[in-house]
Amino acid sequence: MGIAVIPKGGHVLDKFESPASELPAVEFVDVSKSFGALRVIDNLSLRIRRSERVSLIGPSGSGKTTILRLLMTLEKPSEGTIKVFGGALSAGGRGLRESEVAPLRAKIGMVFQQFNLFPHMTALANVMEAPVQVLRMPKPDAKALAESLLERVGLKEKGASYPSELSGGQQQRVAIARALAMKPQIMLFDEITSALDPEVIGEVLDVVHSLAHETKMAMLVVTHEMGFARDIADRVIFMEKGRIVEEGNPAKLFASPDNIRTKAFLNAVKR
Amino acid sequence: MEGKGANDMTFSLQTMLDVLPALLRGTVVTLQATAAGILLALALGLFLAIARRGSNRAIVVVIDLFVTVIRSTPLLIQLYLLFYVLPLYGPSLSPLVTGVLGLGVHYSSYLSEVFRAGIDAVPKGQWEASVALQMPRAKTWCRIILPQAFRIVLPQIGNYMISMYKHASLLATITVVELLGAALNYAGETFRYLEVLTLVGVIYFIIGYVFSRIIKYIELKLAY
Ligand SMILES: Nc1ncnc2c1ncn2[C@@H]1O[C@H](COP(=O)(O)OP(=O)(O)OP(=O)(O)O)[C@@H](O)[C@H]1O
Ligand SMILES: [Mg+2]
Repeated sequence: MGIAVIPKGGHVLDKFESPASELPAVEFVDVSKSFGALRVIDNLSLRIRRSERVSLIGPSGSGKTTILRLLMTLEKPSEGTIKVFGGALSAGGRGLRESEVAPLRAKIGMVFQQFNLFPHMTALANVMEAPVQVLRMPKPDAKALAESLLERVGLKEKGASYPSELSGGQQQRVAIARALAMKPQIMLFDEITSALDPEVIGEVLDVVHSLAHETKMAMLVVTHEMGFARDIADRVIFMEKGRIVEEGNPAKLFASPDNIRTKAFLNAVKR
Repeated sequence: MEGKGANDMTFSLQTMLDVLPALLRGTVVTLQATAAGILLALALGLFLAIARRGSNRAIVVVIDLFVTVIRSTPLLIQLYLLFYVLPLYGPSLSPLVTGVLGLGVHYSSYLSEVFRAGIDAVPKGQWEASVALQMPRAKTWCRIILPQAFRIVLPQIGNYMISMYKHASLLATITVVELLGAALNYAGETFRYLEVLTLVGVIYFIIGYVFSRIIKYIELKLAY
């Protein structure tokens, strides 16, 4: 009597919930997206682990870009929920509060096919912009950060150049540095070499490969370069008509796909 | 013989020298009215252009109606309304302030369309990159979209500025002694219309020319 009873095994977490460190970086739960009558993403579920590198391949119009845009909150799902590190980033139907979404979105960065650099700013200013304006980083610190990032993508000497003075490959590398400046934990790459001349594709892919080696970011890579899709990824997802058709180990999927449609697609791109 | 007489038909340089101080004072008023009118037109035009982009249908309809009505009625009538009718119902403003208001509101209707086109001409990817960099909406407007839109429409804004500068001569009709008003006052007394109006034309030309060169220069400076 009089002795406090200590509860056995004090459960903090619900038994269905995994501890925070195991929460997937990205989770799509039954996500659909329609543009008018066109169902572009069809009841798709997907998990990406922390630090996992995933390539997304599939025919034109299969919804690859839409998946990235949903994740970047550039589109809103028609149905389903998208979670980032366990928090609801966006959901069909109900609106989420910006104050709750913003910290989740801040974990995501994106590099676009068309670079989308700010043309009225130098390369250095492009990289400094978000740290200064969004994170309120002091200018000298942001400048040092931007310079080190430009060096990292091999453009140490180009800080003072405007985008119009840079080649496509250089512009895309600035865009990568710019995205890195916000220290994302999830990086989205949408066909980042499709707008480039063949001779500069390599320099951009090299940068992405080095990021894969040197950082722990999760990466979701949409590409038509099958060699790159295979080499960069821990897992390849083949999708068609807004659904995942097949996914798996890159070597396995490219060498001997199980699904006949995957096979047909890979044959078609090999030509 | 330096004559001020109405019968003296020879072109008199002396008359031009005599009237010059009054014309220069008028020029200052013209420039003041133009500068203030432009600032008002830019601010109001930009406000209309941005407000119109919202999702509120009612606001869009009201703005479109306002722009259409202002654009399709003469500035002169708008000035008369402001000058003669507004004081009956509202505040009584000085002629110059009334004129600035008229010029600014009139030109805001044109500039709102110019800004709208300029904002639309900024590629969608600029908005998307801003989202991807976590930039809040207001920052995106101020730092990314408007600087680019402004460069796109600068030549048109320049044209409207020059047009407004010439249009400011209408302020003479609501008793503002700007450049033309000063000239008409003097010529009315002396009947030296030829010299006075020639000089007015020369002054308008010189300032208008300098104006357009400055705008060209700014365009070049801002090109990227
Ligand atoms: N804003 C939009 N409005 C209407 N339809 C759209 C919109 N965005 C995408 N779509 C359509 O959605 C489908 C999937 O587009 P998405 O860009 O995701 O394909 P993708 O797999 O990236 O193709 P690609 O390999 O050609 O880039 C396409 O049919 C496209 O036309
Ligand atoms: Mg795409």
